[in-house]
Amino acid sequence: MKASLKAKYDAEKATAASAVTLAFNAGDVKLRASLTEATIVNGPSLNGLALAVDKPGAFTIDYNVPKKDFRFQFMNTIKVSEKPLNLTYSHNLGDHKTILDGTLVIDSDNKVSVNHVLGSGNCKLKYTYVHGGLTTFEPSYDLAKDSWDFAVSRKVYEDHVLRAAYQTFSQDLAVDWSTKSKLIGSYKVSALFNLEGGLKVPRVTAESTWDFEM
Amino acid sequence: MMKASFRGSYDADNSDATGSVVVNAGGINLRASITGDSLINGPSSLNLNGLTLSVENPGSFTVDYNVPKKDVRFQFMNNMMINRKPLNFTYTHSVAENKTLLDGTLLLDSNNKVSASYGFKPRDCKVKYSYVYGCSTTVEPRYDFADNSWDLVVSRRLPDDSVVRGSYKSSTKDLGVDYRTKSFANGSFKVSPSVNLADEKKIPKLTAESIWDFEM
Repeated sequence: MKASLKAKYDAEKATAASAVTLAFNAGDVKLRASLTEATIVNGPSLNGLALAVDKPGAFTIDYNVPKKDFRFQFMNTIKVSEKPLNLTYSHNLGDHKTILDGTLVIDSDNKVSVNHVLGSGNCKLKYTYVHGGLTTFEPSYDLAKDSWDFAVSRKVYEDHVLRAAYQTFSQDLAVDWSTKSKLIGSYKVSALFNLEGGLKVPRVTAESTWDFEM
Repeated sequence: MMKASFRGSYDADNSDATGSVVVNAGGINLRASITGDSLINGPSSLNLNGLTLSVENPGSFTVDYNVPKKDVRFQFMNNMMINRKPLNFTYTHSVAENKTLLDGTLLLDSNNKVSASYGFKPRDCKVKYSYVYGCSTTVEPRYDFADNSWDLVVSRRLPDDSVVRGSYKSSTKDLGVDYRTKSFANGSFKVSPSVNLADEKKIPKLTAESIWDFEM
């Protein structure tokens, strides 16, 4: 059985929140129980118990216990001109939202993705280009908002990734530094700048995840 | 390679027909189906009710688009193991009608199956147990939680490969029998007499259906 503990710290909210996930294998599926947003500072509170059945690469069914809501995700791959097209269908029962995602893997360095929310008439396009095995460029375009977003990430010192993402519509620049370590788990520090009207003090958040086997 | 199939059905009250054409493109089936009044009344009275376009990855998923209703329907087929027994399930979602259905069958062994179908609404659940006896006879009791009714279906495959099926619905007291011939040349034929036992006069109704498949 695997367990993971995630702690989040947000400078603005001034409270730490954490999520605990327990996962175990049952044949070819994984069963997962998660508690999200558990807070201890102002008195213990447990929000959001979620249960999930997950068959990697095939489907995921999530059940949000307090909301009594189901979410279905199905993954399929078909070949288009001998290139794999990975399709993901996601449906949230409660808010009637259906999302379709298709990623065409042109080659090991190039991918095109299309994301469509059914009924919204909107489409998000994304291109992923990996340069030199270390740097990834991801321009994306939102049809309805007619806006571009850019993300660049680079692998540094083997286990670290530096990522910068800019959203032109909201003028938000997010920079994050993440590390995966076998000893101390993984952590991510993010700084969010809103560039509207010049450079201001960023909002800093930090996230730490510990995984362990029981 | 293109395959076409045609299904016509006739009963004393209505007649109907469905034609479909399938094209296989790299493992994916693209299908166009049309339903309309039977051609028995002549092509002049042909009324094309529904055109449905489908994309299908056999055994994996099907996406249907009902052109007149502008409705998309997704179906995903998947399986998982429960206690080393295979559980096959199908998830169906009709977007415009906002209907979601999960249908699962657990194969306990080669002769025993349990199936359940749930529509994500209160009491929208049906359960079915299937038992195969002696290789050719299948007994299927079914229970519907929505109206607390049970049905029983017994079917038997005859030595010439045709199938006889008897069914009884407790909620409507309908007793029906089906006889379907084995596939001959390019199709098969099914006759279904049924009678309502609650009806005083017990007049049987007769439905006939013809299925033709051919390759082009």
